[in-house]
Formats: sequence, structure tokens, C-alpha cells
Amino acid sequence: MSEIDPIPAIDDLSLRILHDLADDDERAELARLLATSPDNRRRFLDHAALHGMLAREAKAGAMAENPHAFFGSLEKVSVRKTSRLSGFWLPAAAAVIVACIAILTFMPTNAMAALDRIIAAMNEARDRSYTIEVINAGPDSGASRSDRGRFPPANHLDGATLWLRGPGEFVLRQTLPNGETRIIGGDGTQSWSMKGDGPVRVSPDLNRFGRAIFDPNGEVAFLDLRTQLDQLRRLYQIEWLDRSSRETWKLRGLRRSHEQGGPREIELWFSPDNGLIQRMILNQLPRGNGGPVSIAIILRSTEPLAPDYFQHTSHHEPGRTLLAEP
Amino acid sequence: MPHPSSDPHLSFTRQFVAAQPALHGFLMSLAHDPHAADDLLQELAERMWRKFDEYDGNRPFVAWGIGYARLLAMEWRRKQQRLPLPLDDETLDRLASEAADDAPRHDERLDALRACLKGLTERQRAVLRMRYQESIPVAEIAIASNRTQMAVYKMLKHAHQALLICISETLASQTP
Repeated sequence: MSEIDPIPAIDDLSLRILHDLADDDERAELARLLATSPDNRRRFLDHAALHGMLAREAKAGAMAENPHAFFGSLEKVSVRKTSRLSGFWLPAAAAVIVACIAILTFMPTNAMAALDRIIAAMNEARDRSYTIEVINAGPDSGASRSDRGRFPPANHLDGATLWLRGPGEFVLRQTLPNGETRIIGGDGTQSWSMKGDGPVRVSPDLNRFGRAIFDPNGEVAFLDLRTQLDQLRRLYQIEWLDRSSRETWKLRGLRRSHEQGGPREIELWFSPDNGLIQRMILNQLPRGNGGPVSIAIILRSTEPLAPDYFQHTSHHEPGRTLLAEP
Repeated sequence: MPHPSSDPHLSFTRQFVAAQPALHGFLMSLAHDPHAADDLLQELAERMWRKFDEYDGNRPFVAWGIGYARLLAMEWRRKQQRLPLPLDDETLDRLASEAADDAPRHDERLDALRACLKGLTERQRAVLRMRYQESIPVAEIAIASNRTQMAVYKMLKHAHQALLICISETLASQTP
């Protein structure tokens, strides 16, 4: 790369704004510079574009994977600067540095191992029921969005109950504003949906009725927790949030790339003993279909359900009309 | 309504995914905050999808999206109690127009950036990763690395400067 010239004021101010370091005087000065010169606006736009591209590229994993490149140099600096320390403090300081590096190195691996355990627990055909709470319904979440005909209306999820068992086995029961109940489910071989006392629609596509939220990948953000967890493993940066309790540990996943769908952030509370998810928060869900911004999925029960609970026949009277989709 | 694909959902998805980086860049130029730009991008997808039946397939998708992105960013700015950068309407309009002019070359700049990142030092890439991938504020990077905030900021500044020069040279070399 070319030799770097001294940095002009417009560059400095632009960067201080973008890195949230500027004070009010600097903000005002940059605003003045942008108002007075197209060259300054050009330069600011260059910095803003670079800032945005770097954020996206970094989330996509394009940056250095090795933080030791930064902290490694710190180690050398620290030893040089601490040469006057006593024989007691030198090993202690070195231990702290080594511990920091060890944490940076191994923490993501352990978090990933914990996630693997959660996925393994999810793959056990164990009955679980969860309540869905809408934490943030988002703007423009009014009832008019439910009239658009796409399936199903993603709002009205607050208070819904989700039952899960094995792969493809789920039931979601929602109460709609008119008091009707909508139930969608899957028994592992087909999915189905019914509203009120209307016909039961059945499809061989397991996600057919679960595409609650617009997603470029057409994936089901929260009904299919296995897919969600698998995505969490592949597409998210995983980190520990809390391991101070014996009963519950907490992980967080931040989506690495915009090219992939799904919520931007996922928080998971789980039992370290058995990997059972106790609570899951999905933040910044894709909202193309007008669904909520954030939801919580909270474990209510692990009581066994009836063997045929995930078949539609368990949720309506005999003789209901069936509409089978190809 | 001439869509490249007969399935509007697929057609929209395909085109939106391709246009996302340019639209994000445009939103970034008016919001000045990557997280806000992320949120606005999600809102933009929703808004464009609702209007997709009005889209003229003969028009560049990015240009069509920028019209909505501009409105969305302006609405967002009006609702903010505190903006990263206080700009008057005239300056903001100029900035938006100039950013819209840049948008078609966004993909080329992104390609150049990817190549230019390889020219940074390991330390520069590492500090960029902490700042952008981990979203760690400069002050916290400084504490974690036992450096001053100014020292960390200077590292970021020099990395930015080097990247801008490299991108500019790369684009210039590609211009016939």
C-alpha cells in the first residue's frame, strides 16, 4: 500500500464521529465542514461507506481470526514496561496475561461445545412446552398487517404456546384478536394448519405453515428450534454471557452476516446439566412479513404429551374437512 | 410488471440480497451508525416487498431501493432524539444525492476492500476485528489492551487511511 499522508481534519472528524468519540464541538465542526464543501462531503461519504463495509465484512468473518496479533504485542510491551517489578509480581502479571490469552483462545470453543450439548438435547425426542412472549412488537404491528393473506400473521404471537418433540414435530397454538384459535403443527412427515372450526390444511412441506416471518432463506425462525440452533452454530458468533449460576448458563449468538436470514441476536438460557433450553430470546427478527422485532420462548413444562399429540387429529373433532396441498 | 422470475417472492429475494450491500452503504451514509443502518435495512426490505408489485423491472433494482432508503433514513433521523451528526436539511439532501451517485459502484469498492484488507498488518486487522466484528468500543479495547484510547484510535485511523488509499488506487487502476 502507498505511504500514508498526514491526516486532514475532515478525516479525523469523520472517524471520531463514526467511532462515537466526538464531542459536541467536533460534531458541530464536522457539520459545518460538510455544509461548505463538496470535497468534504465526498471524503465523509468515503469514510462512512468504509465504516459500513468494514462492519459487514467483519460480521461475515473477513477479519483476522487471531486476536493474539494485538494482544501478543501487548505481552511484549508489558514485559518491557514491568521490568522493575518484583519477583513476586512478574509471574503474577505473566499469569494474568496468559489467562487473558487463554480465555480469548478457548472461550469460544467452550461456548460452541455448550451449544453442541444444547443441540444434542434438542435432538432427543423429549416433550417440551414453551410459552412465546413478544418483547418488542415493533413499529407498524397493527392488525391491518394480518389482513394481507400471507401465512400466518406473524403478529398475535404474544401468549402463544409451542410444543416440541422430535424433528419436525411441533404444535403452535395462537389466539387471534377475534378470539379464534389458530393451530399450526407438524408430525414429522407433514405439516398442518387450522383456524377456528375451519378446514384443516395439510402439506408435505414441513415448513409450509410455519413461515411466520419473511426470511430470504424461507426458514422458520422459531418454530423449528433445531434449525435455529444449527444456524446459531454455523452463522453466529457465539459467546458466553453468564456462567455464574449452577442452574442456568447463558449464551449469546450474534449473526455474522446480513446475507443470511434469521434474528440478529439470539440469547439462550440453558441447564448446564442436560442442555435443556429454559429460555431463548430472538432479537431483531426479520420483519418483512410484519412480525415482532423480539420474542422470548420460555420453558413451561417437560411433562410427556400424548403419543399422537403432534398429529392434527388430536386437535379437532373427527370428520373435519381436510384440504391436502400437493 | 416485468420481473426476471415468475415467482415475485423469489425474484424479490434474489434482487434484494444482491442489492443489500449497496443499500446498506447508502443507509450508512445517512445514519452514520452500522447498527442503525442494519435496522433500517430490515425495515427497507419490508417496505420494498410491500411495493414490489409497482417495481419496473427495467429499472435498476438498487436505484429503485435507494428512493425508499432515502425516505426511510430521513424518517429515522427525524425520530431520533440525538443524532451522531447534526446536519441541516440542505446538507443532508446533498449528502443523500452524492451517496446515491456512489451506490452503483459499491460492489467494486467492496471487492477492492476485500483485497486491500490483505495488505494490512495482522495487528491492524486484529484491532479492526475487535472494533467491527465484536463491536467493542474504542475505550474498552484500550482498557483490554492496556493502551490509551488515543493509541487505539490512531491504529484504527491509520488502518482506515491505508484502506481508503488502497481502495482508491484499486478503483483507479480498473478505470479504462
